[in-house]
Amino acid sequence: MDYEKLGLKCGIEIHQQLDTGRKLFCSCEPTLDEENPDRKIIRRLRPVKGEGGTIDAAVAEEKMKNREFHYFSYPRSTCLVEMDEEPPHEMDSASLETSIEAGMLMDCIMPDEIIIMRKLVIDGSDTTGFQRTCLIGFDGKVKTSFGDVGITNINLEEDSAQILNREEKEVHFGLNRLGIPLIEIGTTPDVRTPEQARELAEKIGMILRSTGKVKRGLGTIRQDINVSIKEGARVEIKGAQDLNTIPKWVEYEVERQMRLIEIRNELKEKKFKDVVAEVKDVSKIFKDSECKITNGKTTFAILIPGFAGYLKRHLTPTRTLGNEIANYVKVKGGIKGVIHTDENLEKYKLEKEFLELGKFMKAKEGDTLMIAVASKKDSEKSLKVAAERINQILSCIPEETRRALEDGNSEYMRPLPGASRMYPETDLLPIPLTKEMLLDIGSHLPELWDDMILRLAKDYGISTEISNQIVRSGRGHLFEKLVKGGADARTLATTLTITLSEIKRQEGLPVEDLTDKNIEDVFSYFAKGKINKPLLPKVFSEMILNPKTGLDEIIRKLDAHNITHDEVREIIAKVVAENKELANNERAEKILMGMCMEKLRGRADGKIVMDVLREEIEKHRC
Amino acid sequence: MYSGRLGELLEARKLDIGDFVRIKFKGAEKSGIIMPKDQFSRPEVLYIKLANGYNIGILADEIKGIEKCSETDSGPQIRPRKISFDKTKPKISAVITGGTIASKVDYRTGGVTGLSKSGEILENIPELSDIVNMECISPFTKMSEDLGHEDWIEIAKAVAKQLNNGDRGVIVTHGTDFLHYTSAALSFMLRNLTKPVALVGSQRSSDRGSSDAGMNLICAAHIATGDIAEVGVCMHGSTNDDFCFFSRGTKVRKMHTSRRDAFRPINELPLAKVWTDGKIEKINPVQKKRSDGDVELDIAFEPKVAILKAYPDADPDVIDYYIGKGYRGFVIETAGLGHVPTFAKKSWIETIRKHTKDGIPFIGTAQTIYGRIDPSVYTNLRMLYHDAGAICSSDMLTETAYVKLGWVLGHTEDIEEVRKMMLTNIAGEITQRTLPETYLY
Repeated sequence: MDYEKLGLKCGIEIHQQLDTGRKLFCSCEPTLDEENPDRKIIRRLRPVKGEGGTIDAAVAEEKMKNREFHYFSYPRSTCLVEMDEEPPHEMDSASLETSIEAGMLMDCIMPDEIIIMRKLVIDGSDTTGFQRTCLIGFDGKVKTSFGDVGITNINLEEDSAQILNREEKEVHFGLNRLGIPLIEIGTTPDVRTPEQARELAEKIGMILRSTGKVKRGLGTIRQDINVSIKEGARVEIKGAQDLNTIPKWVEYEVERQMRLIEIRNELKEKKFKDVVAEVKDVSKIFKDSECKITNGKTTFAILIPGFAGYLKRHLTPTRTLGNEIANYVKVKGGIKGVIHTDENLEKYKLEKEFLELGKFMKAKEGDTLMIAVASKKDSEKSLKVAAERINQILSCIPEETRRALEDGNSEYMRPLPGASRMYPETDLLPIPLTKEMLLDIGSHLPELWDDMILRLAKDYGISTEISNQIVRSGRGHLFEKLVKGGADARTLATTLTITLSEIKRQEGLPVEDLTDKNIEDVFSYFAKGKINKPLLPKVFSEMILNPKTGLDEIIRKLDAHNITHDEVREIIAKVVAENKELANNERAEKILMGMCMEKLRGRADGKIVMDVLREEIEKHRC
Repeated sequence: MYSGRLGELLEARKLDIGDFVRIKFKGAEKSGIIMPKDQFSRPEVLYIKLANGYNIGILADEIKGIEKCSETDSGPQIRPRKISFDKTKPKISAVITGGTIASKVDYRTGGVTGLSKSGEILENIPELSDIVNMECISPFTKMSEDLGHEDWIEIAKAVAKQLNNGDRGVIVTHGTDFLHYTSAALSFMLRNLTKPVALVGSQRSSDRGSSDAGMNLICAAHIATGDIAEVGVCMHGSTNDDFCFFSRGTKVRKMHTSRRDAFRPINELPLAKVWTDGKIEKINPVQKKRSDGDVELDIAFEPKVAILKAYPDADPDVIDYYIGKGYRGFVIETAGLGHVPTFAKKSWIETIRKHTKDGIPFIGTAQTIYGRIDPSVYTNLRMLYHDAGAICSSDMLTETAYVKLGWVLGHTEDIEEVRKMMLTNIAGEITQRTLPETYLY
């Protein structure tokens, strides 16, 4: 695709959780480790007026759903602040500092006073009905191989509660994630190709990780992608977790908008008229059908003149306009879906019924029939939603927020939120950013990972590839610290890269769970000769499997301690003595070496064993 | 609001709060709206709301240029529906006195202003129109920590007037801090009450989706049209948005600084639990039913009453100070079963005895909040209540005793008459039985 010709405009928004030991507005532990909630509270949210006395469209739509929210709290990660039963405490200063660092690393301009805002969120993911957020920096830039991309904003905010379960009128949330410090970074829509979007996301992720204060692991970083093309509309694709799928999300969204424009042009040419959704009760046609969906239920129908074939038109390689409309019906109408004549009706065993429906509705060749199986109220609402969406094809591509699906597609979530969803947080004072503060933070900015990779390779004589792996695993600083403390750079580098990745590959263990302290301890024992080198992988595996077991115990259990030279000689002497008839055999060294190594189970260096073995064999030769 | 250099800068360019401007600073150029500044921010900082909705502060020194420009688009918006109360629904009144529940946030500035028109309340809580036809009257709007006896009298007058004009019931919206003082005052001042009076507040302001104001008001509307003819407080019964308690005005207290369910009935069960759908479950059998007849106003009040607290080394000389200032009665929040320092260096007994003889009443209440004080269990108690002449309040709350003493002193100066009235249960303030389940209810 020629993205330039299509007028692709794309920007991304990155959300990265911070790891500073506490939450942004209270002293709870920012952890999702707790398995069992100890309490549940049930709340509802009410619609509130936005600025200027109007209710925001996005907020209003959520309100229509009238759902009950069940919040689960956890002993270590929840207090009254998350429950919206206590005012926020002062902002976590480490989070503030880290976000200022990130702002500086991206050349952002900082305000002189930070004002904490309440951003209205009424989907239940914040117990308060708003998210606390503030603008830390703006007008920065990040370099990519395709050119610079502007940074429009760096915000520091509280993460929302995590959805545990969603039912029709009830949504369950975990309060453990609520309030974890989160940096949000938005870029200008200067991304011109899908691949550049991926690279940009990676770059920003790298800069954030360079601060050393970000959380690692699944769900700790989330991307949203904004896409538009000429004649299209700005669409936000939310929750794009996988970096490598980013190009596909962009491609598919471009394609979706292109196809919708194509369909619009065709319909205009055909002089397609707006659908008037005259919803008819057709239960009598469907209630005795073989189809389980309609049998015994109330069914309602609408006629869409001149629309045949369009619902099966592909918007992306794996998604049709019919899928798209079904999705609107589900979200806005509240029913599971609709059935229409562009579908395989044989599959539903509804061919006969639809023929009859055609007659009843006076459908002509080229018309589309659509049914909803639900109560009168829900069916009417849903079929009207479907008709409205079809009519909308003629006027515009709606600006909306869509949920990223794993396969590169996306589905409708809600209208794009307006800018008027914010007002100052009255419970907290503004935070002055003085020149002194900024100078102080600027004077010890963290080294960017890209720079660190090159420097470690150069300074410690390791390959750039190995250095890259170490730094990207977040262990660059640890590596440097241990080498400065006397560890052998190559051994350490090999352990941190090859050894650990083999443990992951062969045993499927989460090596990223090893803490810096774990690794530091192992190398300190190793340096003191307390751990035998060949057994290092086993020690690490054991540490991952039993994180609560002490290192001494692991070594004892694995018998992994180094043995003394005398012990080595004793074992070898014993082996040779027991097999002294072999002493004169010319293959004695080879045979006995195997036996010795087995007895020593890798606790001694092969070269030393061979030297001692030779001496011992010599004693028995005649 | 802006003064000094910033004030001059804005005035020179004829700029004011709310104006859309183009502003150059620190190498950036942004459009935004000039916002009022936070009262506690540095004087030289200009507040701007940027197009992305965020407010930031910029030092005057950093501003390289600022000029008026045209408004920017602020996204898709819909108008809230215009509704009004249904005249066929039961008529009630809401006496709006202020507090969080009757406040609205100016979303642009974050500033809080009062809410007093019925239309505004209905806009926030449209469900009310399905329940009641509500008239709003606002004698004043104040935060509850600024309220006193003169305000109680004004509220009592307004409530009585509306009830005697044929209303089914009255809701009083009120700040929460001193809410239980007002509820106690109305309990004494509204005699021969034949209809419900529900005081309601909110612990989370109405600007947020999680506000408890809506549910509390809806439940209060159900109470006001219901048949419990008592003054009570109607607020969240638990941290969940499930039901409210309607607790007797003389037996309720704010027990938490911030939780929704801060108002708990003390030493007795709540009168009822009430749900937003109108279900009312009566819990406490001791309650009056709706009946006929006009409410009588009895607003005589003596404000020269003080609350003192007995604590280690507390000096009784403060009593002399108060009396020197014209105070005419005291509530002493006593320790345990009703103690004040008795044989300590600074014993309170003689001071109390002396003033009681001069006709000044001292009422003992429990600083433990829960439970009943006793005049006889220990020697020291006997010295205070039998010998020195203090009045033992039984299980009356300190706040209620304070209000009641002021009200009683408004009616009589005779200490024996005061003693008699204080020991008589007038508005449900004294219970005869302490039920086990009432503790930490």
